[in-house]
Amino acid sequence: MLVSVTSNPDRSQPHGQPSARPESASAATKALSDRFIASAVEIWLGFGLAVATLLMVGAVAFWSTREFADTTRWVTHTYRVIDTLRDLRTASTRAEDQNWAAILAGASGDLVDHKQIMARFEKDLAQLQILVRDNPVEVKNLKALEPLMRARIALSADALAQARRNGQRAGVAYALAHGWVPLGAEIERRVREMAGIEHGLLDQRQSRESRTAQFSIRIIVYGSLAALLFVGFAAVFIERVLRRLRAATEMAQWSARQAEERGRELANQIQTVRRAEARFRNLIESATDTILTVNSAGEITYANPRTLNQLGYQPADLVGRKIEILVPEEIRATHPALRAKFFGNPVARLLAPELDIQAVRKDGTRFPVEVSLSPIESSGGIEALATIRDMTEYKKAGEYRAMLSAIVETSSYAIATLTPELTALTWNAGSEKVYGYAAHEMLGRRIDILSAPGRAAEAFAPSLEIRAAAVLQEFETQARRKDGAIIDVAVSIAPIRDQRGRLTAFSAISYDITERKRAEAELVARTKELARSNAELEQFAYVASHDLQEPLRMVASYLQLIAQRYAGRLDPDADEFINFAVEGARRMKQLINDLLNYSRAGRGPEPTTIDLEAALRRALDSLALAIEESHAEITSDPLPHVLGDENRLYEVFQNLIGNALKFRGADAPRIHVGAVCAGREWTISVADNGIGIGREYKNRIFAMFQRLHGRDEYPGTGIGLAICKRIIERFGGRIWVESEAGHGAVFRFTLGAGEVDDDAKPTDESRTSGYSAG
Amino acid sequence: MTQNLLTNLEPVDILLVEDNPGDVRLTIEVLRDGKVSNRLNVAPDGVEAMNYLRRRGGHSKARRPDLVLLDLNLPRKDGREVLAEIKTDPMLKRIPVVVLTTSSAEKDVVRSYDLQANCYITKPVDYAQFVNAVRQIQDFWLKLVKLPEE
Repeated sequence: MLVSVTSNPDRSQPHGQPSARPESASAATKALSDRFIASAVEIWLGFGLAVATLLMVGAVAFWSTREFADTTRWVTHTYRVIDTLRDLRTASTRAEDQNWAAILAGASGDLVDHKQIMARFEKDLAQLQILVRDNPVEVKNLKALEPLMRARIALSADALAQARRNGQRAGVAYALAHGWVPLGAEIERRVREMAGIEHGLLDQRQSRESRTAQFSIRIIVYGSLAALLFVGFAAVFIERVLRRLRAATEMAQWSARQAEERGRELANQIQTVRRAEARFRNLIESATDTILTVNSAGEITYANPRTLNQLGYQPADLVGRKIEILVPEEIRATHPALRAKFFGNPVARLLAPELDIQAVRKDGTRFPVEVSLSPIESSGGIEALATIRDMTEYKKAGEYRAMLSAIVETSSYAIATLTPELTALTWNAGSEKVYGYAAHEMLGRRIDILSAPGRAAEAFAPSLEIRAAAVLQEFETQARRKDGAIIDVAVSIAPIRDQRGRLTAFSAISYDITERKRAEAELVARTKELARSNAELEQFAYVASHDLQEPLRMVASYLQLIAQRYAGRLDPDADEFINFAVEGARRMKQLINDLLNYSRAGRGPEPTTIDLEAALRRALDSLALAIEESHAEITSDPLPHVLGDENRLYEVFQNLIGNALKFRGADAPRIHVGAVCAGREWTISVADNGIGIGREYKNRIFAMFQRLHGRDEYPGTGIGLAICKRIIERFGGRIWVESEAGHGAVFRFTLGAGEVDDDAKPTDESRTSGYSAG
Repeated sequence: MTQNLLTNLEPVDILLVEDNPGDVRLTIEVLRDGKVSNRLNVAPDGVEAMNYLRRRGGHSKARRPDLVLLDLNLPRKDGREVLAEIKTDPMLKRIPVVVLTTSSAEKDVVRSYDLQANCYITKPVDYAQFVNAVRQIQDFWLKLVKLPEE
């Protein structure tokens, strides 16, 4: 039974798949409804079985309960039989005992409650008789028992009567003589037998009672389980039905949606067609070009509104007229033949642009046009759809473009445009000159072929930044000409973008800088060489002056030793010769020292900001003696902070002021140190009233060991100004002299302004401080 | 125990490290005129000077000098090395070393003092000045200064 309900595996397969194709939808719906019916039967069957089972369980329970109650009653009955039998026996015994008690007590007095006891005996007997009515065996047994009991009671009463008459002994003897003891035994046997039967019945009935109880429990339990099972099955089927119901609903909804959509689509299509129609009409009506249709007879059948401002005709005026009214007079005659040629082979075409076609307005003026023709089918056969475009502006733009391209073409710069993939789009004559490739060789080729070996990655390829942003990129690189020569080029690449900002091309302008590069490299090499030889020279001067000192010292020292030790012992000539030699050695030592100073002046510390005032003070201190001797009057402007080195500039002042004191005229020297600022540069001047310098010596005086005067007149080696020049030039300044013989001299030099404070700034009033000789 | 050299009746020992025979002779001339009795030993190069100081190579009888006059530019081992060796040798480092050289280059001066020269003197070109310089070295180091005896 269960098997037939559950097994329908083929039915329970696909439910709830609304994605089934529409044409199978109704079939699927039918299958579904069939399944609903089958499922309903299953549910009813499930529930029916459950109800039937429950009813059966109820019936069995009812029956078994009754059976149980019945059995229980019988068990109780048996107990009552046993009890009553015991009561009966007790009552009879008590009656006997009373009589015996009286005998033993001397047989005097009356018997207490004898009647009551006997009534009790009778009552128990009657009850027992009723109770054992159903059992014939027991009825028979009771019937046998009753007289025995009565007989014994009677015997005991007789014995009592005997005892009263003849004494106690006679009573007892009477009882024994009349079968007291066997009678008692018989009663006992009969009672036991009856009780035995009843106990047997009791066992039987009790076991039946427990069997009945177990049976009904089993029936109730199993029956309930079965009912639950059937309800379960029913629930499973209900669930399945619900699922199918849901699937069916979804499919129904889906079908409804499909139908709705199809309806909407159709409506849309209709709308689209209407809109398209309107749009095409608008398109033609609002086109910037004149659009005409012309039939094979050359008559205009349609004209769009553009004709009014382009040709001067109302569209309605044109319809029905010959197309030739728009054609220039000179070809009006040949035009019908051309027209016939189109209708002979009606395919879309653009009239040859190089023909320089012109159209005639209503007022007779002409303008350049571009005409395209295409055949269209109409009710009156094939017609030509003519689109006439005004090319006036285009022609002008064309002329401008021609000018631009002429500039590009004639430029000696290499000007090219490149696609974003770096193939050449245009290639001017300049490019050919620079790279050796002609335009026809380069166009469409990647510019990689211009890359110099080892530079492939970088050369010409615009960097990522330039691709990403609209920036110009300029760089220098190397390229390989067609003939294999490697050239240096300066390249400037910029992106070209369309209106939407998309990269469409690159413009690349480049030119050959090989010659410039070579010159630059040569300059660098030469500068380096010069610096090296300068450094060598300085090293040489330094070392040489040191090593020269050694032999010089020997010469000088021993000459002096001779002069000291042998003075007066040689002849006068020898003394004089020795003096000359000593003097020469001394001078040479001076020269070497000067040379050493000069070489030092070209080296030393880098310029820093220093206080020029301090340098001047030190110089004046060191010259204090000379200043005093010459009674010189020295004044100065406040001196600025400048870029230099204090020790070196102290030397400069020492030399310049020392010279001013040395080359003084007849008057006491008057010296002024001035400072003038121009931009970031100071000009310092040292002016004196001395003997001056002839114009022709202006440059000579700054050369090494150049002297203008005899050694006896003015001592010195002539290195001072050379050292000054060297120091000033090392700090990036210039030094020169303004003088005329006999009118004093002004030495000026320039120095960069120091990077400081306000008090060093130039002031227009020249605060003059004096240093005068004591 | 220390002692002023002036009070010592023994002549003082001077080691002159000098390769130029002219300078050696000049120094001898000047010292001869001096008032302090002295013994002048001459080492013509740095190796010879170190042998003398360490009593090696035929100088086993050499006396420990009271003063070293050291030229910087020497053959074989130059004066800077000699100076460094003396001043790092525990046995020799207390001997006063006077650098007496032609060089007036700043870097030579600095380097010598870094190597713990006791003083640095540039040889004057003028004979009179040279005499004066040597005299002053003698007066200062051999008369005035107090030095440990050993």
